[in-house]
Order: sequence, then structure tokens, then C-alpha cells
Amino acid sequence: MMNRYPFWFFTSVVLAVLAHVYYVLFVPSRSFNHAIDLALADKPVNSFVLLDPATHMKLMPFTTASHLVGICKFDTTAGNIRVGAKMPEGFWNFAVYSLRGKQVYAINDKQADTNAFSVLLSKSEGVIGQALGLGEDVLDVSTDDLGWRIALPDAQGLAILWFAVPDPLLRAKAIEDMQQSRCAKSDG
Amino acid sequence: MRRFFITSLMLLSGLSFGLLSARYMMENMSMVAPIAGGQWMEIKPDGDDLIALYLSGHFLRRGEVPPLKGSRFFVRKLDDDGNTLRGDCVVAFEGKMPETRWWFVSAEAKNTRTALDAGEAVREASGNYTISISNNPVPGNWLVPPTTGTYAITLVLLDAVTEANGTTPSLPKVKRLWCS
Repeated sequence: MMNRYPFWFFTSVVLAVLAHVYYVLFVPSRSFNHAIDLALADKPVNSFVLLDPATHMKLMPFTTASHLVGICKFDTTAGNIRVGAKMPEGFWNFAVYSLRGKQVYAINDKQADTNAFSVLLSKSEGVIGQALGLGEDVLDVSTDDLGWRIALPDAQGLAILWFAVPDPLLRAKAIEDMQQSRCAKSDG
Repeated sequence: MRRFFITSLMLLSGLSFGLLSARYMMENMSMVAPIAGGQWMEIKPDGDDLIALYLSGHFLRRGEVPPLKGSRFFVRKLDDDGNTLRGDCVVAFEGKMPETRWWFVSAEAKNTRTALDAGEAVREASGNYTISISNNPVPGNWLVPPTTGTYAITLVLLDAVTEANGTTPSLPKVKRLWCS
């Protein structure tokens, strides 16, 4: 039977490969974006939100209800975004993800050596930067007078603050600290 | 008519095979081999190779943020004797945790996950941890598996000291105690 349909057989193989590649490249990031949109349903872009435990446990498979997770979905299309973070004393992590789910930047308390810091997120510019953006690596990390400056390959992304609460008695204070974190359009 | 039917079937089969194979590879992480000397598999979704694309897709497809950079993510679906982890069995997870700033253990099925971390677990005087995975309450560290069906155990090491030299840490053992 294959002798009668070699062209269509070959076409179906090509179709299988294309469908496979399409699924691997596009379906996961679409599901991820959908989950982020659900989690941040009524929250505006460029604002910092401390997630409730049920939501962060669903979004981040390595957290428990005792952890604290703050998130900012940012969009640098209209200008740079500044994340001003205030973290409690202890083990925390700050990470920036693209909306395709690739982690492009991360720093923890040991590396930062401070619990209050500021990060300026900007979209990289120029043809070379755009081309390099295909690799999704962070293009530039530099310091300015207020903290770090990160030039990102994508205009949109997620800034995530995670804190492992070491003792339930410290939870209220930790929430109070993290709620002082900000994510907003910057003039800088 | 028959020719049209066969041609359509071939194209549809190709399309389905392409989509389902991608889904299967992501869901089952079939490209990850157990690490030496056990059933634990290490997942590295933040690499730059082709496999990392499937592994990060494993999390993204489920609407989950991939693990943080600098963390080490281990998963297993079998106990030390090669038995599938089943909800109707009582399982003991025991041993020393690798040198790390924070760790996290979960029992995870399709739509359920119970978890315990370094801040919540009680450590024995010997430095070992024993976590019982059972559907009935157990004194001490306890995780609840799904009532029926199979599940996976996940161990995440955050800011692991062993990450620096890339060695495989010695991970706790998982033993089936009994089944109902």
C-alpha cells in the first residue's frame, strides 16, 4: 500500500515532525502565560503582588504554604520598570523570567549581600540586541546608583521574589517587609 | 473515495503522532536517565541544550514556573526496590539531606501535591530525616500521597553546596513498608 502513497506517507512524516516542533516550542509557553494570567487575574501589569499560598504553590512546584512569593508581571514597552525589593532577613531569591518561561536573571540573599535593593528592567535595544534576544540570555547587567540594571531580550516578563520563612513566628514580619516591595514604571 | 480516506488517515496519523509524542516526552521526562546507584532522576531545565527545552516544557505545560537557577531538582517514581510509588502503600523516605541551604520534598500526583521543607521538618538527633508517606496520619514528618493511583516524589535542593562542583549528592532512600 505504501508504494501507492509514497508522497503522502512522506508528507505525514513531515507533518509529524512539524507538529512535534510546534508543540515543543509554542504550547508550553502558551499554557504558562495562561496560568500567569489566571493567577494575576485582576492585578494590573507593572505592580507587585504577594500571592496567596494556594496560588504560589500551584505556580511554583518547589514551594510550600509557609513560603512567601511576590510577583510582578512587567512590560517595558512603554519605558523601564524598576523593582524595589525589601526582603526579610534569611534565605530569599529574586528571579526574572521571560514570558516564555526562561529564567534570565537570578540573585539570592548571599549574592546580593543586602535585603533592600533595586533592579531596573529595560528592553535591550538595537539590531544586535534583538538578534541576541533569540537566545534569551540576559544581555546586560550593570549597576547604577540605586541598584542593578538588567537589559532583557523580551519586553515582557515576570519578576519573582521568593522567601523561605524559617520560623512561623517570623511570618507576619516577613509579610510586612515584602509588602513594601514595589514594581513600577521608572523615569530612569 | 478510498484513496482520499487513506490519504487523510495518513496525514491525521502524522499530525497526531507529532503532537502526542511531544506531549509524552515532556510529561514523562523520558529523556532523563536515573542517576547512578538509585531511582532518583535529576532534571536540569535551565540548560541550553535541546533536552532542556523538553524539561522546561514539562513545567511550563502545566502552568508552572521552572525551578530556580542554582537549585537542583530530583524526582523519582519508584522506590529503592523498583516498585511503583502507590497511594495505597506506606512509604518511608529516610536519610541525610545533602549539604544545602534549603530543601523541599513533595509527593505529587496529577492534581495533588503535599510538601514539606527544611523549615517544617523535624530532624533526628543523628542528623537524619524520616518522612512517612501515608494516607493515614503518622507521627513526625508526614506527607499525604493520593488516595489511589501512583505518584512521584520530588526533592529540590536550593543553593546546594554540591552544585558548585557538579557532583551527585547522596540522596535519601525510599522504602515501601506495606500496602493496604
